Amino acid sequence: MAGAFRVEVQKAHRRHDLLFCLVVPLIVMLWTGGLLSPGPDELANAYSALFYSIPIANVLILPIVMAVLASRLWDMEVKGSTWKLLYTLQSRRSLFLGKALFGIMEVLLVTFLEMGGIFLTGKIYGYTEDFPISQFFYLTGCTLAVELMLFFGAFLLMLLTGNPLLALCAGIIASLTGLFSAFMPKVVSYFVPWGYFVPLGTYEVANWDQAAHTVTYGTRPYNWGLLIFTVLLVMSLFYTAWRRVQKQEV
Amino acid sequence: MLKHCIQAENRKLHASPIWGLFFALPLISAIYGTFNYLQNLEILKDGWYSLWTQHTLFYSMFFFPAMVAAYAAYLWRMEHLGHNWNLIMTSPVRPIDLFLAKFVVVAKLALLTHLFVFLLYAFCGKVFAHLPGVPPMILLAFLLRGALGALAVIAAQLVLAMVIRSFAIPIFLGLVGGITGLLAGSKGLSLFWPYALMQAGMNANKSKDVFGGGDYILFFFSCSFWLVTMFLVAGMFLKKRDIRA
Repeated sequence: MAGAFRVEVQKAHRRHDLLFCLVVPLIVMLWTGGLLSPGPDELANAYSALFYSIPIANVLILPIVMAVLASRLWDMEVKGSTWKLLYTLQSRRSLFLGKALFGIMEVLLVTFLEMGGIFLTGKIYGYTEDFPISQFFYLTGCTLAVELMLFFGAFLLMLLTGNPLLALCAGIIASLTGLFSAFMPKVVSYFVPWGYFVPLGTYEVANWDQAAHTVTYGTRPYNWGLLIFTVLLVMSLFYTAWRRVQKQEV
Repeated sequence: MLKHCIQAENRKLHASPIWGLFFALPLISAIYGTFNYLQNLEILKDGWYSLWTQHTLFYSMFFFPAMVAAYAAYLWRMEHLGHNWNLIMTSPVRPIDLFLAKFVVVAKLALLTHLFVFLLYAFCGKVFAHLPGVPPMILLAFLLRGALGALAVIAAQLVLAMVIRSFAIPIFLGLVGGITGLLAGSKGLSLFWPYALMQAGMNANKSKDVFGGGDYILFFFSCSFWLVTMFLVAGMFLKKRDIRA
């Protein structure tokens, strides 16, 4: 499997995947951090505002980003029909695990860079609110779990259709419906797994003073049940994708 | 020859999965927009106008550029497969006609999507929101302005999909374009960025007409400028990019 992973790393050189993984967190942080560049009176509330905004930015951007990463990983085999060749030259297990491991590494990179961006944004703008460490680790875990679910969902679509169009279209629709579910009653958002960034988030608007243009944020308890459900979805999608690779006819 | 190119591009759309996106995005936008309008009747009191803001808010800001990007990337994908690029570069067709044909087809799709959005809006306004009368004519003008602004986005996405051989990256860049358009619009720089033109034209989620002060001429000039610029870029690229042996 180590050999298959090395091959994927070599293939990714030409795809400029590393650059892509660097650009995505940068966009999220420029967007959320830029919109939230607070005045002196709001600095004491700024991490809460950021932790509230990031899941909403994620639900908009990451379904498409994960579809891009997953589709590019398999599309290069589709374009030249090389998957047929690879199935006869190496074991399906090593091919699948090499691609899955490389995809997981990309997702980890995107997640950790984005989370590092939170810390950096706070330092740049001089947030005075205490850095919520436990919330930070919880958000990292939740973001990672939902990203992996989206990644393996898109990867499965690629394996099923052999065409990136469906994975990307599903990513766009997932992004739209996920965003809408964020502004609907909470029970609706439970039926939209690709938008789980928001119901898994713990920050919420406690009070919005329309006249003074100030927002106060509160927190909800951690949603461990939903997080476990998300991890189960990741595992089932991973397994389904593996079964698809096993059964694919050459 | 241009006519034949357009016919060939149209043929690519037959039984294409792209139609799923064509129907799904406006439909989801309409469902959410109507639901949100009905849930917030105490704040949204401008009838047809309020419903318009809810229907077109996310659609025009984020998802229209991504959708157009998918249309454009789909039409260029075949050219990027195998040795098809060499084939089109050696065929007796002016390269710019290839680009123009794709532009016409994507513009047609985008215009149809716009009409579909408006039909859904009028339908939801009458059937679910029980709004009186018919939609104001000014909203039709917003739609036409949005379609004009959309032409610059279409040309930009076709250039990106032509230059970048990947199918997925131009779609991601379309989404990024929507976000940057939103930021440009919030800073009052809509006329300086092609991705902000469609949002400004549609007047989505604005309480007043953004061109109420008589900025129509500047808007038309900006749309024309970006459109011509994108065509020039495409023309130069197609002239320089030779076949690959």
